This record gives sequence, C-alpha cells and structure tokens, in this order.
Amino acid sequence: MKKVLFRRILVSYLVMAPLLFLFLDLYLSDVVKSNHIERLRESLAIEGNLITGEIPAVIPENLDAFCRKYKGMTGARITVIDGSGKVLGDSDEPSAVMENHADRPEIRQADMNPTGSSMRFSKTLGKNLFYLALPLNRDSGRIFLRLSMPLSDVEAAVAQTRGRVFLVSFAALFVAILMGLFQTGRITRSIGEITAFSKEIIAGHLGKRLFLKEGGEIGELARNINDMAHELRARLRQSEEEKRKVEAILRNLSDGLMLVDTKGKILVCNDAVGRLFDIGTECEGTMIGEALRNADLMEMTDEVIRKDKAVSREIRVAHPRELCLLATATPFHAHAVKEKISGVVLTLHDITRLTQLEEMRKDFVANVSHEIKTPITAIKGFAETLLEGAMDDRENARKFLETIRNHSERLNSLVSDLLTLSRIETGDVTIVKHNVRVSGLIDAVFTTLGEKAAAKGLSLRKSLSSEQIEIRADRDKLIQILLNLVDNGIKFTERGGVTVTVQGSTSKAQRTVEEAPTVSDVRHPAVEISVEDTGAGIARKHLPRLGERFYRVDRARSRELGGTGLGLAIVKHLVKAHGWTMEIESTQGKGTKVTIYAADTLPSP
Amino acid sequence: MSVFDEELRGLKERILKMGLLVEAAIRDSIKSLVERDTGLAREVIRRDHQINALDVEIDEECIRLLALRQPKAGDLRFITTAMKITTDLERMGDLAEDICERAVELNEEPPLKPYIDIPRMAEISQGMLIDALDAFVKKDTSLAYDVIARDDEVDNLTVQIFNELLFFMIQDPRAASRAVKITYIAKYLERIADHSTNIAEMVVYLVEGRMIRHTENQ
Repeated sequence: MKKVLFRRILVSYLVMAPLLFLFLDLYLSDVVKSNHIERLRESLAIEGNLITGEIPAVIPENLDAFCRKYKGMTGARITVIDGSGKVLGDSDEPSAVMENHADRPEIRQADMNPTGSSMRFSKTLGKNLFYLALPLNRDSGRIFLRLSMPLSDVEAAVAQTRGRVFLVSFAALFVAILMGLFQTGRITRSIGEITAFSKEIIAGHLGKRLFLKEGGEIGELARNINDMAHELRARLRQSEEEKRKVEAILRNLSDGLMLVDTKGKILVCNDAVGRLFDIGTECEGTMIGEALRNADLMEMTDEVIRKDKAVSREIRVAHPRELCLLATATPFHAHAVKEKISGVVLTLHDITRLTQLEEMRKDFVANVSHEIKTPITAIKGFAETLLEGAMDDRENARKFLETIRNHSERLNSLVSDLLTLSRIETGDVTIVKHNVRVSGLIDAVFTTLGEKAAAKGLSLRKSLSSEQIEIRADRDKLIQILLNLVDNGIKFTERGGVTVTVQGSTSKAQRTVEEAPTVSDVRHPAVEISVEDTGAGIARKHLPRLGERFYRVDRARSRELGGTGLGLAIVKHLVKAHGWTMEIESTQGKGTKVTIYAADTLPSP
Repeated sequence: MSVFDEELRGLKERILKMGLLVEAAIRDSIKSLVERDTGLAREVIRRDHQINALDVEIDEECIRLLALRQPKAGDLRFITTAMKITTDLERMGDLAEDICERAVELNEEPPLKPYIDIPRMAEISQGMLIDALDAFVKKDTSLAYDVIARDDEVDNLTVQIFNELLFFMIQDPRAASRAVKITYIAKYLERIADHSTNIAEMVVYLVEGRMIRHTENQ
C-alpha cells in the first residue's frame, strides 16, 4: 500500500485533462471555422449583390476584364457563368479555355435557391476555396455570378484559435496537475497520519491523540478516531479494573479455586490451592494430576467432563499433610450458546478442622456413655445379685458390696473429673497465684502416690536445680497437675520409675527483692517442670490428640489401669489457665516426657 | 503444542492417576490393618477395578499411539515405558488388595502385637512409589536411582519382621496362623517396593535410553 491513492488521483488527472482539452479544441475550432465561413458568405453575398448591378445589360463576348476590375476591388475571384454553364468571364483564368461549370455544386444549388455555396479544392488554383453563386435573371436568360475566396484565411484563423486554446489548455493542465498534486499530497498525508495513529492504537498506545489541521470529512474522521481511542482507553481501563477486582477476590479467597480445561490443564489457580497442596501458584499451565497428585480430584474432573454435571465430594489428601477437603467440581461453559463443556471449575473447602471437631464430639459422647455405663452396669448387676439372695451369704455379700463401692467411687471420680474439666473450660475456676516452693509440693505428690508406685516396684525421684525454686502458681491446681502427671507415669510404666525435674532460677526472685525492695517488681523467670517416665511411650500420631477428653492411645489397657481418660485433659486446661505452655515428647518403648514451661512474666499483684 | 504432544501429556496424566490410585490403595490397606478397619479393607478391594480399568485404558491408548503416530526415539521410549509401568502399577494394586484380604482375616482375631515395622515398611514402599512417579513425571534420574537404592532397606525390614514373627511362633504355636499372615503382608510390601524399583529403572531407561535392569552383578 504504497501511495496508491496519490498515484490514482494523479493518473486520473493526467488522463482526464487532455481528453477534456481535446474535446474543447475540437468544439472550439469547429465553432470558429463555421463562424468565419458564415461571415465570409455574408460579405461575399453583399459584394456579389453590388457587383451584379454593375454587370452590363448586354453581355459582351468577354467579361474577363470586368471580372479582373472587381477582383481588384473585392479581393475575391469573380466568375460569371451563363445559364448553360458556359463561363462568360473569369478574373483569374481566360474564360475561353475554361470548361463548362454547370455541374458545379454551388451553381446547381443557386439554380434553385437564391444563393448557392460550396467548399472545394480547386484544381485550377490548387487551394481550398469557398464558392458563393448568385443567380441573375436577365431577359436574355439566366446568368450566375460566382465569387470565391480561398479558405486559407479561415484556416489560419482556426489554427490561431487552436494554438491559443492549446496554450491556455497546457497552462491550465499544468496548474491543474500542480493543484492535484498538492491536494492529493495533503489528503494522503492526512490519511498517512490517521494510519500511523491507528497503528499506535493497535500497538496499545491509547494515551496518544491525533492532531490534524485538516477540516471537513477527514478532519471529522480524525476527530472520530480520537474519540474512539479515548472511549477504548476508558473501556479498557474499566475492564482491567474489573479483571483486577476478580483477581484480587480469587487470590484472597480462603477456599481453593481452580479452572481446568477439558484436557486436564490448569488455567487458573489461586493461592489457597498452593497453600493446601504446598505448591507454588506457577502450576498454571501444568496438568492437574502432575501439579496436585490427587486421584480423587482427577476422577472428579473426568466425571464432570463426561457427564457435564456438577459433582461434590469429601476427599482426603495424604500429601503433603493430611487434609479433609470438600471439593466441588462444576462444568464451565466459555460460550453461553455453545453446548459443549469447555472446562471445569474446582473449589476446595478445607474441612479438616471441622471433621476433627465432629469426630471429637462423637468420640466424647460415645466415651462418656461408655465410661458411665461400665460402673453402672457393675453396680446394678451386683445389687441385683445381692437382692436375689446373695445378701445372706455374708462372705460374698461383703465382696459384692466392696465391688459396688469401688465402682461408685470410680463413677464419682469420673463425674468429679468431668465437673472439674467443665468448670475449668467455662472459666469458673479462678487461679490465685502465690509464691509456691516446688520442692515441698513434689514431696506431697510423692507421698500421695508413693504406695501406688511401690506396689508396682517403681521409683519416684525428683531432681531440682535448687531446693529453693519457687514459682507463682495456684498451689492446689499445681498439686493436681503434678498428681495427674505422676499418676499417669506410674500407670503406663512397668519398669523403672517416674522422675520430676525442675529447672530454672529461683533465687532470682529473692535477688530481685534484695536489689529492688518493691514487691510488685518481683518477676519469676521461666521455670521448667518435667515429668518423665520409663514406660511404653506413645506413638507419634497420637501426640496431637493427647489431652482431648477421653482420648486414649490404648483404650482397653487404660481402663484396666483405672484411668478416666480425663487426667491429661485436666492438666492441659489447668496449665492453660495458668498461662503456661505444655509439651509432650515420647519415644515408643523408651518413655514419655511432659514438660511444663511456667513462664510467669506477669507482675505480681 | 501438536496433537501428538497433547496425547502424550494426556497419557502421562492417566499413568499418574493410576499411580495415585495405587498409592492410595496401599495407604488404605495398611491403615485398615493397623487400625483394624475391616470396612476400609473391603472398600480398597472394591476399588481395585478402577486400577484395572485404567490399566486396560492406558495399554489401549499406548497401542493406538504406536500404530497411529509411529513415534521415534524419546516418544517411543515414553510409550513403551508407559506400557511397562502400568503393568507394575496393576500388580501393586493387586498386592494392596491382597494386604486387605489378610487384614480382614487378621481383624477377626485378637491382635498379636502392635504393628511397628509393618507401617514403617509401608511408609518406605509408599515413598518409593511416590518418588518413582515423581521421577517419571519430571524425568529425574537421580530421584529414580534414589528409589532403587531404598529397596535394600525394605528387604532388610522383611527379614527382620520374619525373624521377629518366627520368635512369636516358637513361643506360642497359637499365634502361628496370625504370624504367617503378617509375614505374608511383609512379603507383599516387599513386592510392592520391587515394583517401584522396576518403575524407577524404566524411568532411567526413558531418560538415558539404557536398561539398568539385572545389571548390578556385572
């Protein structure tokens, strides 16, 4: 597209202008010629009429002299011819030798009309001539007066006119071409600018504007294109904003969201998916199986593509961590009109916590019922046996009654544990902190449980970095914590013993008092209390669930040992109520260690 | 991307899906054993047909691609590797099913002892399968060699489990039937690990174009 417009306009100018001038020239020269001939005819007619008066009534033998005389006066060749065509006199040639002129067209015409004229090439003179013949009726008969003028004058005039026309034409043509060049140049330049501008718009430079000096149609076109660019920019900005909004929503969605095409390629994937499956968001463009490594999701995608129907399912993810997801796959139609499915939208809602809680609740109800039912069944059974007659068998009756008491004690301790737990959980238990010497507390615990440990042949040891260690704690609650932990240790240990270790500085409290006498400033730095046994240990997978009410690693054994399944739960809550943290470490076959970090950084009241 | 490339990608995806199903079957079979969940064991047995169906589907696709596209070099190796890998995966699926059958039987009897080595063995075998598939997807030979190396660990554990169970059987003849079944399970897991090794070896072939099977003694 190289200056086609310019060339076309120029060529049409160059063709049109000469054609126009050719027609003009033909027309003008014709007009000039006929004009001249008309004038010639008129003047010749007048001259002829004048001469006819001078022709003598009696015609002499030879009129050549007469003719010559009038040629000198008018400049026209004069011929007199009689009715039969015989030449009576001629100004240029001796009439005697001239042939009969009766067949000359002007004579034949004049024979019937008042005048006769013709244009011919005269052989006699070798020129183009104009002849005019006038009939003259005499008594002696008809004679004709013929005047003739060479047409060279007319031709000269026509040539002159034509020359002028050509000159003017060429001048006009030149000007026209110049004008054409200038105009087309201007238009093509404007069009070129518009083209360049439209290219800029295509390239995406929507901020630019087109400035044209041109008015009229092209100016309007330029204005419209400007408006178009402006509008385009506004729309684009709007849609970009929309896109950003959608993207922001997608990215910050806590649920995983993915768009997968029918081949299984991931088109869109938000950050939540990356978090759930521990992959980056660069999975866009990869295949779903390759990126997520989950057969269930692949199956769901396949199913949706096959059936074109939404599917919702709970799926379990094993890697990189155990998750329970509520996955929903819905067909995606890119074109509303097209029936064919173009992809699948996958949403993943993390319900791991939810299912865990649900499981915990179910377990709790089942456990409580079971825990309560066992002693009640026993009590009921023995009571019935007694009523049915065993009452009289004194020895057995006593044994039965003891069993009943044991079971009611168990029921009692279960219910009181549950009550304690619910009181702590509802926050009814207030922790009143005092300075407590840990050593004495441990001794008290050991005294309580000494007999139980001795019965199993276990040793109870304490190891304190200093006898003076004090912490700020609720004395009764701390005793309960230690009691439960040491009791647990004794229960699950067959050989060895339970060791309570206390580490931390103590004396720092006293030092502080010495250094700064204000009591309110006394702070107790971190004290670590750990209870370690040499028992069976706990498998790693149970560790996170320890401390849940009734959660037991080995149900049968724990119950055999007389646990309620609430001990650790109570410890956990009491530790939390103190504002401390607790950690359980365990190696299977080696033992378990429970550590309490009593970091009391709160100023004393 | 050409149609053939798309088809190869789809094939890879199918294999990955099959591998994931097999991995889930192994995981669930061990879970059903350790947690004495007979329902889960039956479900794994019920689900095995999915793996078999995929095996047939992948094989047919491979044959179709071989006939239609007449692949060269790398693509040819990929398709032949795919056919071999699916065979291994299908066998592993069957072994998982066998574990479940033993688990159903064992769950009907009182537990002999807590399972400690079996879950460890299962963990290693599963890891081998996951890594073998990973190596296949990423064409990562170093990972494949790593998988092959881990097979010894599983073999050692098998021997260890066998000795331990032998001790149980000598101590208490009533435990014999259970102990034998557990030995079976250990053997199944060992076979599963072997199949993972096969897959890893095929990945080496796929990437490097040389067979490393049966070459360790030469």
